[in-house]
Amino acid sequence: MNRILETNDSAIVAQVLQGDVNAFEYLLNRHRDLVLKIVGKHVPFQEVEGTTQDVFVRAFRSLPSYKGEGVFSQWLSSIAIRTCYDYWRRAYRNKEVPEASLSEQQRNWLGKVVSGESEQAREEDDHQTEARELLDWALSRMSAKDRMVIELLYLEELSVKEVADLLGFTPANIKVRAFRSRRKLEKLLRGVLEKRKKTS
Amino acid sequence: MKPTILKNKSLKKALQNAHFSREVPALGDQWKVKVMRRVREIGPPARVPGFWNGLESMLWRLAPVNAILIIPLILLFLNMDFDLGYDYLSNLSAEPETSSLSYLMGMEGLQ
Repeated sequence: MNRILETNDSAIVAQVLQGDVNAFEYLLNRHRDLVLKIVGKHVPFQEVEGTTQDVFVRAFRSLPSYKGEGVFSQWLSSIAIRTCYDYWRRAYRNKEVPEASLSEQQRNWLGKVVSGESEQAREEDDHQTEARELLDWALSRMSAKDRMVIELLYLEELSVKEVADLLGFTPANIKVRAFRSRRKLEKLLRGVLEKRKKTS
Repeated sequence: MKPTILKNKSLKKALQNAHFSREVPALGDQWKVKVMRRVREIGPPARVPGFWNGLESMLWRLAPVNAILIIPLILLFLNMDFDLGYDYLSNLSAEPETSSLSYLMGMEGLQ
């Protein structure tokens, strides 16, 4: 048992492929926090547990395709991102994405941050709620692919190549999508600011 | 429309903080039990065959069909007349100065 704990991921994968399904639990324990961290950023709170399960089950099914060439955690991260993307594709297809509305408070917060009226608008914990709700509102109005690209490229500042590898698309595809999704997000936020000007 | 709001550093920082500070649920031991139950139901993952292994298995699958086809093909070839080709070759080798394409195609005398 201790020998398994010391072996690397590739050795455990080989063991699972030879028929020792229980050995997969070691991979689960080792990489649970990584997958939880990734999934937690991309799907709603109530879906995190189920989606994390799906990631590991999908990884288990895909083990034969892991050739041991790259780092296992990187391979698993890619599966986690694609599982999150598939979650949103299903949600949009089944029209399960709630279209939240923005409150005046959130519109005011955006106005203050953009105009630099108040440094507090950015820093206080209460305003983190405003930021999160504004972000959720904007992302709910974008397609599954657009929201993943915005989250990975704009918010997490990954490179185009990294995003392409994680999502399984070509870099050219990601560049085009990035341009469109940023333009869409810009338009949404601009609309919020204009509405704020009209009501104030 | 050139994006300008998204270039606002304060806004970007605030949205990034919101993104990275999302709350995540704690995964208990029951979560692990559920995953392993699903994994055991699936069973050991099937190995993906390499190119040559895949080709070999496909060829062996076609072996019975090939065997069935070979017998009528042999019978067909046995009943075919192979002398025609031999005649052309013998004409070419025996009288090279007189043999021509027109002669071989039976068009001699048509000029």
